[in-house]
Amino acid sequence: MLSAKSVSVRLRKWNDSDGKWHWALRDIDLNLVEGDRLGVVGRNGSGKSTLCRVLAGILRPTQGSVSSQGTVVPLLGFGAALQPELSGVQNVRLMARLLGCSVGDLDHIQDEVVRETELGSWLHEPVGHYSTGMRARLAFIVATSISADVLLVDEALGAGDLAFRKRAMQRLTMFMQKARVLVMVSHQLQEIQKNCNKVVWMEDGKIRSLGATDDVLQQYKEAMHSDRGAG
Amino acid sequence: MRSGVCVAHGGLKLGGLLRVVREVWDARHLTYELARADLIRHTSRLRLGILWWFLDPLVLALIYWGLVDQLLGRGESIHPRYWLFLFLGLIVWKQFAQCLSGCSGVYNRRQGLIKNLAVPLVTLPGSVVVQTFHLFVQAILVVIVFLGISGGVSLGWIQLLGLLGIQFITMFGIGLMVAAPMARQPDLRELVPHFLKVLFYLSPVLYSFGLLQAKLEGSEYLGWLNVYILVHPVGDLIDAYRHVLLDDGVLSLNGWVILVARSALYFLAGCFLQDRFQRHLLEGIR
Repeated sequence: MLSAKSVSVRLRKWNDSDGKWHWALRDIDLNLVEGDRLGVVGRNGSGKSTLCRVLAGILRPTQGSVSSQGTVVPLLGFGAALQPELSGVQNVRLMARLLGCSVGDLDHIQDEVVRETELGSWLHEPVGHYSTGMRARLAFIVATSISADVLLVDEALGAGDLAFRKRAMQRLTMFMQKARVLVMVSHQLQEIQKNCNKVVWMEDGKIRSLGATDDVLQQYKEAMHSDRGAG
Repeated sequence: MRSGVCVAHGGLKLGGLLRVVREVWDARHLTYELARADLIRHTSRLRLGILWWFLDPLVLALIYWGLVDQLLGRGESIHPRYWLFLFLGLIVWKQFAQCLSGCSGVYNRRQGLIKNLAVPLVTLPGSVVVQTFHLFVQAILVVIVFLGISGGVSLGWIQLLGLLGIQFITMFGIGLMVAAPMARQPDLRELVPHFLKVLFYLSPVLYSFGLLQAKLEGSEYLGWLNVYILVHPVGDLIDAYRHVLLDDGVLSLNGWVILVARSALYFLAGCFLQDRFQRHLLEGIR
């Protein structure tokens, strides 16, 4: 359903005038089939998010190829699609279309957004008038209203009030369960343990270990402890 | 993102070009959606909303009619209805200028989208082209209504459909040509307004290429002028709109062939450059 063959990605910073390149990913091979729930762990800068972006089709590999079947929904910085001058309803339409939703599904998504966000008449106001929490709520509900065959989650949400965050976690869990393939990037090892049946440990843009959740997490924890001990 | 294969760049250049052409076609609905959102966003700030789509060209037409025709009585040596001649030139030029300047910085303005969603990159310059083209169509409608009321409808206006198609494809090509190469060139983007100012006077907005050709008849520079006319992105197009709308003329087959061939070349050149520079753009921006 989702595979990466010998994927390498070379990057440089957007405004880096001296033009230094670095390999964010090197020779990544992954093959995920229906039912796979892959957790991605690693230190900051190890290539977790880049891997997620390549698998989502946001980033094109410099070498190798990524192929996917079905609708791929990336739950990354989905709030970036929101346009402050447009109303909530107009943003729902735009965001849903950007996430790959067909025109026929728009009504169903609008209904779900009205029901789940509880934003009421705010939905007809420009999003620029919303609070940060309201914006995050809107973006999150739209993104999780689209049925995903392959779901990519890079660090779960943190915005919104406490009551909503609780409900959002329940919704995210259900959303992840419905997806046929899940890729989850997180520093929260309990989340990975709870939701994933496979884990890949990334280090310096390469796969250091790939296997069953318990085994890889154990190796990862030991390495972290020994690093801390050495430090 | 739907099912698909995402491979590294490289290999046959023709393959890359065709990939961009296909991407433009496959993403046409999303391009429309982004343009629609931008148009709504723009009009949401205005009290009169979408009425401005018609009011803007109407006000411009009134200014030129009042100033050039009524007050100054200028331009009769160029065309009997000089203010309309000028207006037609200006609205085509305006779309070209908006398209060029809008597309040259579009990837920078939309970094947030590009970094977080698998949005096909061609949709971003595409949405600028669709927006500006939409506004151009409103302006041309104002001219058509005015001419229809003042002098009756002409069957030759059917040619406008072809001209509009050619203009759209040409502008799409120009949009793609500047969008990716200029994304990493902020200094070059600063030059765009100056380039447009110079090109304005070198374009047949205030005059016509036919007039220049007549003046240079027998001169050694005529050949150079003809080459310049051939590569000018909108010069022939402006003259063609005037010929169809103001002179009730029928464009020659030769004229159509040149217009179609040039728009196709601009479009393919745009797709080629998009493919060529997209890789560098993505490596930097995403």
